[in-house]
Amino acid sequence: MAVQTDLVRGTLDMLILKTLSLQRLHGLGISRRMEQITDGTFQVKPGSLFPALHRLEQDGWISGSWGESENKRRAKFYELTSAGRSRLGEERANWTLALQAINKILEAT
Amino acid sequence: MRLPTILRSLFYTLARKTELNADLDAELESYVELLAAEKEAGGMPPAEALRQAKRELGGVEQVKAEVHDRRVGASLDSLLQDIRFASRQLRRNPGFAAVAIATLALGIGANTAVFSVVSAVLLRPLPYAEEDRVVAVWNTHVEGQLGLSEQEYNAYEELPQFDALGVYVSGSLALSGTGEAERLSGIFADATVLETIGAPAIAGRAYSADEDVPGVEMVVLISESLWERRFGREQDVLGRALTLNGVPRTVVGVTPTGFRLPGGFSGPAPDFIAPLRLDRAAPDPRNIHYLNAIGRMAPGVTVGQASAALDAAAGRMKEQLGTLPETFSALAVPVRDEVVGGVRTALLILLGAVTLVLLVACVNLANLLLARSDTRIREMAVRTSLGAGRRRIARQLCTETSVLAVGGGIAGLLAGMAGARALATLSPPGIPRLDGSGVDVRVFFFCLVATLLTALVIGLVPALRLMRSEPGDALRGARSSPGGRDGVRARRGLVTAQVALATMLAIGAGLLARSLAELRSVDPGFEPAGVLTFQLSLPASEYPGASDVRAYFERFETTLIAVPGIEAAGATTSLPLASGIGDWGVRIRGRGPDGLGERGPAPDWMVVTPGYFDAMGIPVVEGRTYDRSDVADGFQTVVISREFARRHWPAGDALGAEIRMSTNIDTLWRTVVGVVADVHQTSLEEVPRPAMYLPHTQFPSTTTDVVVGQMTLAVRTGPDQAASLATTVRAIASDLDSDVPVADVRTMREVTRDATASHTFQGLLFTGFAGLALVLVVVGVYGVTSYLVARRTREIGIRIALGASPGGVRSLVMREGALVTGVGLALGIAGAWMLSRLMAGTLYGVTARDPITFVAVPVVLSITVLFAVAIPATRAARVDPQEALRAE
Repeated sequence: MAVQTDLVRGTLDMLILKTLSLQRLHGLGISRRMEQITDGTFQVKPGSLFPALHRLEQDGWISGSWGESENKRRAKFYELTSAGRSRLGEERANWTLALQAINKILEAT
Repeated sequence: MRLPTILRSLFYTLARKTELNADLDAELESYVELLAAEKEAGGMPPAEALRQAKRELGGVEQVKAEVHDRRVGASLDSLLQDIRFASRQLRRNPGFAAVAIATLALGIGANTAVFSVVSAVLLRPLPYAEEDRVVAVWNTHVEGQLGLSEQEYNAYEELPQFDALGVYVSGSLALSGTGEAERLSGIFADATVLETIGAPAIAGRAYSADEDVPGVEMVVLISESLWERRFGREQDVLGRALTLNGVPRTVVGVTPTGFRLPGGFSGPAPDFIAPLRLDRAAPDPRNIHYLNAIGRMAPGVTVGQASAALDAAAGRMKEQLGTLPETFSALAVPVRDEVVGGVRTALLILLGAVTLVLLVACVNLANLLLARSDTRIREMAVRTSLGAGRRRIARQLCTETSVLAVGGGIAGLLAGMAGARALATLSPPGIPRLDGSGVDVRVFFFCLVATLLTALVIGLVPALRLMRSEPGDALRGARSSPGGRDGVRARRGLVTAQVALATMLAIGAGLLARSLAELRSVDPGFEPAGVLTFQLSLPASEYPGASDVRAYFERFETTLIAVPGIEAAGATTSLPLASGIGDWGVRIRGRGPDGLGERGPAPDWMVVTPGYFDAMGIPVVEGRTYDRSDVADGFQTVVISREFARRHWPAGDALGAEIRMSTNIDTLWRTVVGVVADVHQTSLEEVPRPAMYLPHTQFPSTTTDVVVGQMTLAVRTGPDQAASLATTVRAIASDLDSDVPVADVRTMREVTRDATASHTFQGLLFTGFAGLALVLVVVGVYGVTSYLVARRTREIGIRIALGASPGGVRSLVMREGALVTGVGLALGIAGAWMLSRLMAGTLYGVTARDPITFVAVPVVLSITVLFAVAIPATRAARVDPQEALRAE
């Protein structure tokens, strides 16, 4: 099942950071990687992906540079900065906290 | 994110925009290529792979727009972009922009100008330290406010509610000995007054309480302007003795330019402040209420508490003296109310009126913009389909109107500056604190707020309208959709509102015009044409006795009469409509006890020379006026006014009656020898009070120590020659005694004109505003009707083709115009009916709901507006059906 990225809008930034924490990727690479990890549950459309990438780059969490793809094409690659790494930690902590809270509500009897 | 980072990113976004955009383009391109390569690898033919990749990306422009929107500073960036775009749009349509900006400039400019006056008069702080604690203190009785007497001053000053309470009177001194003699007007104030208002001298010092007692050396403070005018700001004027009223007074200090006492904010600033030198230990037992009082309340005391304490003290005075009227009381008035209370309503009404003008202007512009938005509905539809968000488009439209409004605001500020200057010059005498009005920070801020509100008002309607339109409809429906039912309704609503606003303004103007006409038709009781007036004050040192003074005025008048062309000359202590006047209790022989507690007649009184009645052209009703035979030790006479005679001798037997003044300086019984017509002494609005004219040759009868040495001379000549007499008069004056200054030279025409000046001014401004609104309304109604006719050309064509007569078509359009106008008029009349009450206080001779105005103004207005409808209606009647049907 494909989940609309709208539903996880707030978490898209975090997912991108997480994905980039594993390796340096270009735009298409990021969405493919996310699809792959989630077995196709998350499909990130360019209309959501690029605004998020550019904002993250402006905020200094990731940095982009032009490079060459596996099949020798020019592509813009993004990687996590050290600020981005600590940012990811924060987001993760928040997320866990929120998740626990939500679960408590859902499991309340 | 920390601020420096934000700023860096912001700078990055704005400064390197082109670079960033190129980068984004390249990135999106590479995305598509990668995607296509992926699909090719999956076995798809290259062309198909590329096509699908592009489709998956979605609209390139949309993606780019979303990226832009999420960038730091995106809103600022798009704002700049909007402004550039808006300016471009307006430049492309300079006619529209010019009309819009001019309309706004008029509206905002008029508002700014009026507000500059409101700001200077009502809002500016008074030159008093801790203004909130300063109050004016008045006695009151049923007929109005009364000054304090010396005894009451002593009593009120004791009250713990006051930290300080001081008294003053205005007066004049003749300056002689240095250059040309000059009459200085100023204030005699006790030292406490200076302490109360806390105004320090800018050079030298204020005088102390020790210098404010009888018998010590006389000192004086001069004003900065006098210091500059007569002494060139020399420091050595301090300590110098000036000859004032023939007596030396030492200058101890200079008061700053802004120095004024509560009653003196409308005229020129006082030339001097001199000690009042009251004998506090021995207050005048006659209890004359001649002192103005100003007090500083103790910290924490409210005006109400101070008034209550004064009321109680006044009650004790009433008991103690036994001569005060039953309704006698006292109160404290906040100093700001004292200074500007009289003009506040009139100014606020004016501000309200000019706000209505701005509203009408806004409505006109909203209509213009609405018309424009119709023509642009397709442009907007195209933009929406290409991926522009509605919010973004609405913002774009608001930016456009804001650019217009800011243009109008800047032009309005300039117009307002000019207008403020014009208002300050043209405004009537009697408006306090008008000097120094102009565009200051407060006015600028007002202009800014007015501009922003204007932008909001004019931008809202078209923006809402475009937001609601469906892009699909607009693109498909091409011609019929723009200005659908919504547009027509909005337009009619706007025009109705406009007519209503203009009706309210026009009715207000009508009321003021009627009021002015009533006031102008008031018979002042004298004949102002051909009369020149001027003041003479004889220094007591040179003219110590009554006979010296009488001789001077007699010689002056005889010399004047000898001049060819001069018909009559005479003097008075109270020139009508110019100087103040007071009342004085009298007894009528053979009537009632002399008990002052039961107030007998208290006519206004003045002292006149024999030629006065002829010079002023005051008609004699019965008996005679004075002549030189009414000598000091002869038969004691008095002339009274018709109102005095009517009230106390209703049977018409006033002549021969005897009256006596309640004072110890004039105790002889005087016989009424003449009755003259009623004269409006204080204002044209007020009904003349009973008055008596005492003969200068005989008054005062009991003593020759009291002299009446300050009088206004009136000289009658041919109707148009009054003004040219001024030189003659000055020559005669300097010939007789060069130390006696001639002051306040004015024709009686000028005096009467000044008396109606504030009504004229208010009426003219209001009429101007109403006229402006009417022009805007006519333009608006014409524009909308033309638009509606143009929209219905096809329908009208069909009607005519089916046999409708041109007359029928015309009346169809006229009917619609009449409906809009009628509803607007009705609303306007209702609004005026409710609001005109606010104007009641400024009207004379008409009620706030004057039926004539409420009928005549709407009639004139509707005729004017229907003319504006008639032109497009006639055009509609001439529609050629063939052409109209072909056009579609």
